[in-house]
Amino acid sequence: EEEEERSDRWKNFLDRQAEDDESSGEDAKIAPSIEDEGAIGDAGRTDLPDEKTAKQQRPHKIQIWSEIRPSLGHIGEMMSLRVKKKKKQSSADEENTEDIKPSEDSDDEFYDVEKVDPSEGPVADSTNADSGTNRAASQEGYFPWKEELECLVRGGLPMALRGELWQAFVGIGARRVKGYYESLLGVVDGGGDSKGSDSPTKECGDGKPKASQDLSSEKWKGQIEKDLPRTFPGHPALDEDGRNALRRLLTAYARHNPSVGYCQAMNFFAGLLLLLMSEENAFWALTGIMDDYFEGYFSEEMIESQVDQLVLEELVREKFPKLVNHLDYLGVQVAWVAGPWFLSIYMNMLPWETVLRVWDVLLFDGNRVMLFRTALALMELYGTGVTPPYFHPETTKPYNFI
Amino acid sequence: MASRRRTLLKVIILGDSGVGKTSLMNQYVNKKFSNQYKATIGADFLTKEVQFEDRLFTLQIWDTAGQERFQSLGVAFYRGADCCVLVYDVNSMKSFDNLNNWREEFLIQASPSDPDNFPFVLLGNKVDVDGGNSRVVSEKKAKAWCASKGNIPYFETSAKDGINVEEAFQCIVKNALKNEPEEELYMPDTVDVVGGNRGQGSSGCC
Repeated sequence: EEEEERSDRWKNFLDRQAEDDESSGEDAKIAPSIEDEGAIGDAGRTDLPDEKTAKQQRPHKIQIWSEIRPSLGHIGEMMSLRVKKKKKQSSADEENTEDIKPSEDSDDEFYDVEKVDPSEGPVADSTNADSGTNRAASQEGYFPWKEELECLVRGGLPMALRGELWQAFVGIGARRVKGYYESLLGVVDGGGDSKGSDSPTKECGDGKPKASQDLSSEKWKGQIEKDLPRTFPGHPALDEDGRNALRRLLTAYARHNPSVGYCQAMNFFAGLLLLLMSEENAFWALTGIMDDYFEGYFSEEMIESQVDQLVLEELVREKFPKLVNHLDYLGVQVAWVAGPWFLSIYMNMLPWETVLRVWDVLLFDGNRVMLFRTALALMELYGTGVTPPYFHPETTKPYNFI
Repeated sequence: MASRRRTLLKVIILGDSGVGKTSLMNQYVNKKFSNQYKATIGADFLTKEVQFEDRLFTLQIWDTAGQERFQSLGVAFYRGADCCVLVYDVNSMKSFDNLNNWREEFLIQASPSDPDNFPFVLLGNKVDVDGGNSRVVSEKKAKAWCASKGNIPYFETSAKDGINVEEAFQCIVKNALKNEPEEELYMPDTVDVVGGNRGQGSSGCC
């Protein structure tokens, strides 16, 4: 069905990239390693969040994809430029990471991205979507297929490729520092637990932090423990091993960035990433998302989160005045509704397929514009014309509110 | 439907992470318990229509995230609350010790006109766990705390087994109404979204 069509489109695209590859030669050498890794990933991927994928005949799929995996390297390369660029610039100008607040442009775009007909996705507006990449592209080489890729991304990634592509989008290749993840875990736990051996993690499982641990680490530890069983409860992949991996991942990140430590919602991000990629890759993806895409968002003060909500409120006021009137009348602020949407990147707020599609675009864009677009789309779709201030308890979240 | 008069009662549920705030709300509103609740991010609310002394009310129940950090997002929705429900886990002393903080934080943020008499209700949740053997906060201790704060009504509940949940919320409604005097009928009988000009101009309901 739709997923299949999508897969075909992607295959087409990646095939062509792969062909270019052969002519340019060099990169082909990198390909096999990516391929291997991917194959392992696929094996673990049979039990993904949405049931649908299970229906597909996996072995067959893998074969098809393996031919075109090389071209993923290209995408990863392009996205890595963004990361490197950022590293260089981060000291020079901070604004660049923040110039993504939606302007009128993004509003226009938002109409193009209506999820209803992804096939007719926007082609024209690719220019302003990501200043970072464009800058990088213009300076360090032009990627003629970028527009097409963007189109495909908005149409949705095929499930089988999602994990790989997300890693490429976040540019984990450029982020990865060998041994860092292990070293983070080694700090207190005595190390060496990342390779699936079960013993070392036990010691953080008893809830009572060891005396040797400093206070700051103790603080988030308890919260992580509380949230482990509350992360996609009942999901088959989150058995004991899955939870241990989740614990390690969250612990590693908290140590990597103590200013954020652990904030609820990260458990869901980490959980999702773990379903789609290997543990260490998930760490680098999480790091990319938290440190770049959501810098200042989940820290103690949650400044960026508050800023986003104020911006959103302005946008909603401008676009849907009647809705805002209605909310005012109920004594409800836009932020009370949309705050949780943003903070969870729509996880648990929308049906899975939709959440993944939002993530596709967000990770590709490299900024938070998609959060706003999605919020505005939801308000447009469900916000107006719904009079009663009472909602049906059974319905899924966002719809039940407005 | 719309022709009946309604009153909106706003209730805020506060307490440490994992004490069962979401579960209590869902047990009351949907009569369901799941072992699998997800951590609440930010805040969330549900409504339920309740009848009390021949009047019909809409209870708007705000469920909040337990992690402290989310408080920095602004707790503006505390304002205009008619009752505040404090929840702790009878199996966790820390969640009980934190009640003072939650109460004070609420009073600061909500700044009710008469803080000394603002209606709180305390719920000691999870009494079902381990047949009560893992309990660390005694009923006596909880009641003493309630007495020291101006006789806060206290219920021992189990969201899982539905014990005392209905009773507790009945009491919550009753107490929320005590707080009601001037602000009769906050809600007019129809809501006209299309018409527009009804907005109060500013947010925050009273």
